[in-house]
Amino acid sequence: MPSDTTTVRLHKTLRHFDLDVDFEVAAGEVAVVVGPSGAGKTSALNCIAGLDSPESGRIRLGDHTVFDSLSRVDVRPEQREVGYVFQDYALFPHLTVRSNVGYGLRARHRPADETRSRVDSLLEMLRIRDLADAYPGALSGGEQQRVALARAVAMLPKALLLDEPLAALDTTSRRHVRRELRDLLRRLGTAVILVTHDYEDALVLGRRILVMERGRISREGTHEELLLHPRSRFVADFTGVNYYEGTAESGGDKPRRIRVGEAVLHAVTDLEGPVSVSFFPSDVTVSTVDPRSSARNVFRGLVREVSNLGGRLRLQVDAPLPVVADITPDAYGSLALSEGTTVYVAIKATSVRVSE
Amino acid sequence: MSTGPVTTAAAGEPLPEDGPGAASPPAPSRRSLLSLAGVAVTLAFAAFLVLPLAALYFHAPLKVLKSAECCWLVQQALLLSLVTSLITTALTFLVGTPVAYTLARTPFRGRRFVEALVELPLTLPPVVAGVALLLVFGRRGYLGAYLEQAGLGISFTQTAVVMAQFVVASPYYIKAATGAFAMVPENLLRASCTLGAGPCRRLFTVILPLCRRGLLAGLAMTWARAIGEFGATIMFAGSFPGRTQTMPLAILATMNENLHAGIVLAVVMLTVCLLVFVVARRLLQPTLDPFMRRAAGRAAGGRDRAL
Repeated sequence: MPSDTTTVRLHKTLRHFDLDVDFEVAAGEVAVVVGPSGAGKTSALNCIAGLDSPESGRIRLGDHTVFDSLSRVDVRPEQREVGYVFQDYALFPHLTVRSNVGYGLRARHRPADETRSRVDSLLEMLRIRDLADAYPGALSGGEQQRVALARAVAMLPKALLLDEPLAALDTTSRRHVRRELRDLLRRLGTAVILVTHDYEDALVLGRRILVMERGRISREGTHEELLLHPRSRFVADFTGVNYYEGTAESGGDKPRRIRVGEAVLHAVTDLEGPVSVSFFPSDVTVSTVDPRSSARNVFRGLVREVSNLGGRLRLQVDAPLPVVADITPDAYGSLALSEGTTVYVAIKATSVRVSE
Repeated sequence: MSTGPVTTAAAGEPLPEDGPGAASPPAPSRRSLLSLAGVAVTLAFAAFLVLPLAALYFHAPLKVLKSAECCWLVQQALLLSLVTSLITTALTFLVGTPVAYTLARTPFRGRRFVEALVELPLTLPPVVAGVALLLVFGRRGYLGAYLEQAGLGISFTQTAVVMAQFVVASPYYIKAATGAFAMVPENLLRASCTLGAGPCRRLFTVILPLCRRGLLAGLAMTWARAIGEFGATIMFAGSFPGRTQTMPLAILATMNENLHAGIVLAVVMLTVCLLVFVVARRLLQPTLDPFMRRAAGRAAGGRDRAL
């Protein structure tokens, strides 16, 4: 049965833990693997590209099995049709942009005129035509990234791997390049596996997000799913929501009491026993006087830290629960807040999401 | 790899964020005493090197060169020196390149030991190397005796001249080439791998182009060491005019009879070496590499944009 799906199942012992992943990526799909540095993301990519060998498992790129520990298949990297964009882009410094992009086609002995026209159309598509005769040393980070991408997709690989494609860029160009990269990846039509430690990248670039922790994929879902139900502190830290683990008390009240350490949160739920609780920083109301509002959850605390999120301000409040709140600059100004101010934070019971 | 032009561009670039005082390059008047002392020592050292060479030219009684005997000597010795040193250099390239590549990129048991062994001749007095060669390849040497029987006697032939030069001079190339091969970024090789290039293509399209300067510099050093070889040659190959008497040996032999002729030979040799030195330096200029030049240009261009 012909298939365009890339299937990855592999096991490998790394220095501090085992790499153990199992996932599929359809052609045209962008799967983002997100996790902290040292979670084994790059090792997984290297195994798929054949630069490293897993101990067991099976890797299929479409119909092509490139690794299978049972039937002892281990195709050499130069024969796997995998495009790889390295974290540092790894452009050949002694070749021009044009020669870099055409390298793979020449290595596979494609006719010269085919190579030339393919390279030209790629340079056109990525809008680096003007740079064709420049050397990589003369390019900006964003330009280098596009050259690396063009080089990796020139032979129309079955799968495209990108290792932290935005990590080498400065923050100003990053946002712009990220959007461009997203549009490009969607147009490619190959299976894309992108690895990043930055949740912002994952959010913009991929529909499907795979969260990787210590060599394992601990969570998989769309951004919305991860945002609404983080289910682990790790995911919550990535998405930036308030997250606690506690116990839901059984009882008849409609908003149920959930005990989190010393504090109690009210939430609308049918669950009982151990639960995880989360709410968005933007659902937190901050005031300097006791609001006595309809919100069931009001805590008094000290502002520990204020940081700028661009258009919004993020407060870290030391209440009985540590709470992160996002407020507008207007609200910040009118409340005359600063670090050390005593504030009340309020969260509506309906804003608190509870999951198992 | 030299980053000369890049650093120059960066150093000359005033950062707009800094205050005016911090931005301007250090004024000559602010030079410290220590750096002045450094300049003085450097100039003195350069003078110490150049003065004797200048004296050679100043003193050379070039008309001696016109005498038939001297002329013949110079021609023979110079030709022999050039031919043997070039053969040694070519041989070093052929043998030394795989050795250096293996030492730099193929891990095997005892690699560090072999690396040390290969570098040993750098510190070994050439005379000792000559004696050792004689012991093995000489007429009554361990291997030499058999070779002699087979009619392949080596000692006191031009082959011996090349062997003596090879032992003494090849480690310079191997050391330089090992360094160059080890500097090739692993990621470039991995990239070329995923792009479908096999080992051979990787060697010719990535490794060798990136190491070109390092290899050429190593070859130049080896050639210079080979043409100047004296101790090992006189021990192992002897000093037979027209057969094994290279320029350095000819200089010594002539000096013993006729000081002026010796000086003339020295001047001829110095001139040849200076010519090669100038050409090699030009060839190895980092600015001659297109991608280096672009990188340097970028440092300057980047500044323009920033301002």
